[in-house]
Amino acid sequence: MHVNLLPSSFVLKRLVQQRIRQWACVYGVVGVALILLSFPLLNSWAGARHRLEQLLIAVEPIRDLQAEQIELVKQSMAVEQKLDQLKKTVIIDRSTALLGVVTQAVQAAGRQVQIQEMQVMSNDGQHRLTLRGLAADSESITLFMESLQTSKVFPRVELRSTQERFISERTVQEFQLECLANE
Amino acid sequence: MECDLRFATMSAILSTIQRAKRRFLKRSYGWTGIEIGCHALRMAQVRKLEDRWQLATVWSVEHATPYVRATETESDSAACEETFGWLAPSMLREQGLGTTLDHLENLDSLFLGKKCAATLSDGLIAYRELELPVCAPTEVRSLLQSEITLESECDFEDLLTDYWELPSNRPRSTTNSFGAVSIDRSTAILLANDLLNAGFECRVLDAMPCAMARATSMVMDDPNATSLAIELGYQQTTITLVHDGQPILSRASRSIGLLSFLERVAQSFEINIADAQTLLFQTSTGRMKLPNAEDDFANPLQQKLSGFLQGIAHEIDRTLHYVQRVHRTMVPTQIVLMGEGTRIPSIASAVEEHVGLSTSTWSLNISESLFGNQQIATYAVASALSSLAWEEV
Repeated sequence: MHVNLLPSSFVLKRLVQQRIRQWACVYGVVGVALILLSFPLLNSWAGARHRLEQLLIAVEPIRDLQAEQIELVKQSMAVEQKLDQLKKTVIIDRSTALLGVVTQAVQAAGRQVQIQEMQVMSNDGQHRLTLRGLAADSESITLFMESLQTSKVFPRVELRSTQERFISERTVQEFQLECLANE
Repeated sequence: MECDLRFATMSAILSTIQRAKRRFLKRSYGWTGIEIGCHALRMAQVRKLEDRWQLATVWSVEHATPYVRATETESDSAACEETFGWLAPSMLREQGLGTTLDHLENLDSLFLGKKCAATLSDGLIAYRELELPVCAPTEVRSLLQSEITLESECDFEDLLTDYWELPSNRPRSTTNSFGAVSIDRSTAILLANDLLNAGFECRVLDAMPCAMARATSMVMDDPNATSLAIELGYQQTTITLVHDGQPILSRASRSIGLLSFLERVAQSFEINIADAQTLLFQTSTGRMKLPNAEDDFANPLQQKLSGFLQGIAHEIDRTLHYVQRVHRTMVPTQIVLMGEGTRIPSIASAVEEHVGLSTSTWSLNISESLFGNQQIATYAVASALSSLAWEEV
C-alpha cells in the first residue's frame, strides 16, 4: 500500500515521455530491422538494374533496326503508291500505243477494215485486247490479223467470230478478235 | 484512420512486449528507494530472490547543510507546518536536494534502473488523521483537500493530498477515518525535478507511515500480524501501528529526536555533535539497560541515554494504551525499530526490556556485494520504497 504525492500532471508528463521513448525504441528497432532486411533486396535490385541496363544496351541495335524497318516500310509504301500511279499512267499510255498499232494494222489491210469497238483489259501484266469491227471481206480480216501479228506487239491473235452483214446495200464481214499483248 | 491503425498497432506491440517482459523477465531488482531526511539522503535498492528480500545496494549522502526547523517565532505559519510539514519550499530551493545531489557525479550508476520512489522523513511531510461523513469514494479526495485547505488557510490549487482509509473502530459510525498526507505542489515538483537532474525518474512520492508499514511487512514472518514500527529519526520519532501491511495509526513525537539528544550529549561532554555521534554509536558501549532512578553509579552516557530511552518508552506506552482503548482487535505483539536511532547499540533489547513486547531491529539479508557494517535498519524506509516496484503503480 502506498500513496503518491506527485502531481498528476508531472506523472502524466513522465508517462508520455516514457511512451515516446518506448515508441522511439520500437520505431528504431523496426527501422534497423528494415534496413538490415533491405540490404539483400537492395543488392538484388541493384544487380537487376545493372542487368537491365546491359539488356537495354544489347537491344539498342534491334531498336535501331526496328526504326529503320519502319522507315523502310514507309518508303516502300510511298514507292508502291507511286508505282500504282505509274501503272495507271502506263495503262493509259499502253492503250494509246495499242490503238496506234491497231491503226497501223488497219492501214496495212488497205483501209478495208473498220474498228467499231476496242476494249483493253489488263490482268497480271498481260493486256487482253478485244476488237470488234467490220471488214470488207475475209481477206481484209486476214490481212488485218497478219498485220497485228507482224507488229510483234500481239504474239497471239485469235479470231473469235465472223458474221456476214449487209450494211448500206453492201455485204460486209463483222468480226471479233482477241489479241494478247506482251508486257 | 491510418493514424488510428498505426496507434493501435504500436500499442499492441508495446503491450505484447510488456507482457512478455513480465512473463519471461521476472523483475528481480526493485526501484531505487530514496528517503530524504533533514540530515541525510538514504538510498537503497532491494532485490527479490524467489520469496526472499535482499538488500542489494545502499548509499547515504549527508546534506551539505542539514535542514533545520525554524523556531516558532521564525515560522511563517504554524498551520502551514501542520499541513505540509516543516520543510519550507524556500529551504528546499536554497539548500535542498539539488544542492546535495550536485556534489555527486554518476550517483545513478550505483543503482540498476532509473526509476525511483522517494519520501520525506523527519516530519518533512505532515501526516494527519481526518474524519469525514460517509460519502462516495470519488468525493473523498476533494473533501479531504477542502478540509485541509480550510485548516491551513493555504490555496486549494497549491495543495497535493493523498489518503488511505483507516479501519473504523465504531461499528455504527456515521463517519469514516482517513490517514492523509499533503505537500505543497511546488515542493513536490522541485523534488521530482532535482531527482530527475540527478538521473532518477521519480515515480512515487510516498508517505512515511506507508513506507514504514511496508518495511515492517518485509521483515515479518507473518506479514498479516500486528506490529508497532518505530522510526527513530534525527528530528522526531515516528510510531506507526501496522496491521496486515497497512498503517492503522501514526504518531510523530517531535520531542524525541536523535539530533536533540546528540546536542544534549555534546553539551554535557563539551564535544561537538560529530564526536557525540561517534561516542553514542560505538559498539563498545556494551549492552545497555534502562538505569533505575536510584542507580547513581551509572555510566554518564548511559544516564543521558536513559532519558532518551525513557522518552521513547513513554511514547510507546501512550500509543499502546490508545490502541488498547480504540483498536482492541489490533494490539501489537511485536516492535520493529528502524531509522538512524537504531545505530545505538542494544537499543532493541533495552526497549524490549522496558515495554515487554518482543522488539527487533529491522534487518534484511544483504547482498555479497555489500560489505562492512552497513547499519541496515537505517535503510528500512528506503528499502520499503524500493519494493514499490512490485506494486502496481
